[in-house]
Amino acid sequence: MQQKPTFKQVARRLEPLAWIGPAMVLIAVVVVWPVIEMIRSSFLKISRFGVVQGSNGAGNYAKLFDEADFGGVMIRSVVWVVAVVALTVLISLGLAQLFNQRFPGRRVTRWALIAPWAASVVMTSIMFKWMLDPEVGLINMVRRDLGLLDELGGAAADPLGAASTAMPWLIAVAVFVSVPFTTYALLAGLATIPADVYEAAKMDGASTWRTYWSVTLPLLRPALTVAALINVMNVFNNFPIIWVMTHGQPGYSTATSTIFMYILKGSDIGESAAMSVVNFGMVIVLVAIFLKVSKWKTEVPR
Amino acid sequence: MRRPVANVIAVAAAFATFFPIYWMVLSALKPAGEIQSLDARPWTLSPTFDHFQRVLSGENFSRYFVNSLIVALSVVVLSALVAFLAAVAVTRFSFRFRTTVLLMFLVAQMVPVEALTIPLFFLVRDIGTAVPGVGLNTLGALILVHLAFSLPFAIWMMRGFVAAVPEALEEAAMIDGAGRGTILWRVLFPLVAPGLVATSVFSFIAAWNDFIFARTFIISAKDNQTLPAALLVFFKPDENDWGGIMAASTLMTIPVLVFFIAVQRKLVSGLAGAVKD
Repeated sequence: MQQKPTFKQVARRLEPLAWIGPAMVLIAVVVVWPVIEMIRSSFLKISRFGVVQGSNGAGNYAKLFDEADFGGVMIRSVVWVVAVVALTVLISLGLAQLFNQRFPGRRVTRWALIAPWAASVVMTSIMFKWMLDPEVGLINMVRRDLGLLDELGGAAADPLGAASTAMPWLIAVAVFVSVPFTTYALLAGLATIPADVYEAAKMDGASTWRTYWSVTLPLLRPALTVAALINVMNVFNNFPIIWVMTHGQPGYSTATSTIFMYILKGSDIGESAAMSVVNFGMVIVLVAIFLKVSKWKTEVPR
Repeated sequence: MRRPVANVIAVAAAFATFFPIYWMVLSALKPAGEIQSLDARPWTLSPTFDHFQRVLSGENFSRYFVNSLIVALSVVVLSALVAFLAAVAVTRFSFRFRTTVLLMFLVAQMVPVEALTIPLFFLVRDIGTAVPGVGLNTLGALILVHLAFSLPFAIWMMRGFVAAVPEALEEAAMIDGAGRGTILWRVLFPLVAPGLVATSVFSFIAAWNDFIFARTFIISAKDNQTLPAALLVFFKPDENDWGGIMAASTLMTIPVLVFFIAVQRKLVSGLAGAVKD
């Protein structure tokens, strides 16, 4: 068998290609190619009606960076992703701990916890927008009945109408839709921790908090890293929540880079593409920072 | 201990997370007058199926439902197959560019789809002239695009599962005379099934709940619309038909919720394979 290796060797070398081929082709054509096209059009001059009028050099970028709102949009994007992911992770750590215990009704409450994950983000956002409606919103009615609001219909009853109250509500909704997945990922992480390490900690007389801090958290880190990483990517690129609830208004006060990119699409496609590229670059940088901070293993385990 | 307190908090959290869904179903069952009432009550004494009837009778709702189901299930099956094969390739073979390929998958996961609608529109239009089944206005286009966008994440998740299967098992099968195909489908595939459930959940909800691709590619073919189109009918510039919106949303959400609850247990064990590294 060893004297005629050529065909077999070539076949063996090409074998992984055959297996990974379909995925590579699909991703290359449907994901990577449009990304390249997006980068290309960020250097083109494109009319409002989509007609390419030749190269624009770095003109689209220059125009984008000169936008009065650009700085605010970028800062807001970072605040948005850090606030949402941090709150989501903290709440999910707590919930995962609670739902990991046995108690009557645990199964049903776990089902209930899944709900925001199963529901469409667009629909959840519509729901919250409706509940915050100044005229007929449920949340405003509750605030009125609790005496926190004088009457329905006024500016005070429109939390989404003012920047200072709109952003916290948007963050709250984003946390709301991110918590179920994160909690489930952490529950999965908790399930992989063997019971005997807890027994060992108990024998050593460690307190509940001490056990959590020195045993649970370190062992939970892989799950925590993966869950947080997925959240960073999803939250940064999240579009429906803000678009459905405020369209980035009032002014651009609730617009993140994804929203800003979408708004620009209506006036200047080239500039919008430049914003997309900046947006894409920023996610990559954020993810890289995150991986660095979380000391994620850079080598890919086999 | 403080167990009871902890359990009460858990139950309260479950209530909070479930509340919007509850309110959605409740509003779908409330008579029109009660929905607009300024003194909303968390119950209704005269439930009605009017809104559901309006949704089900008008605008091809059942057709859209079936279309959504075709797209989502096709994506789930195809994505599981393609991702499984790719995951085997990146875990069981070491080849040049393996890390590059994996990084490409991770970066592909970070693309905001809203930024790509214009190039994707032209791509689908051009593919459609060569292969009519996946052109504009077809369900095939939705399947193709959702499939491609579901793959990076699916492969990353499946990787952990394939890696967790001891290679000795495959070697034993090989000694017993099993061919590559047999090992792949009879040995490896059943063992990574929980992982496939977890990845399926992700690809299913992405396809089922999608608005943006449906509105980008299905521009004029009314018969090939998916559920979001049925929902948008009830949004009117003057006054939204909240009863209709809530009834349509309920019909859209319940199947996913049932699917999630059905695979809930597998979901936890499924995610476990993906998050231990």
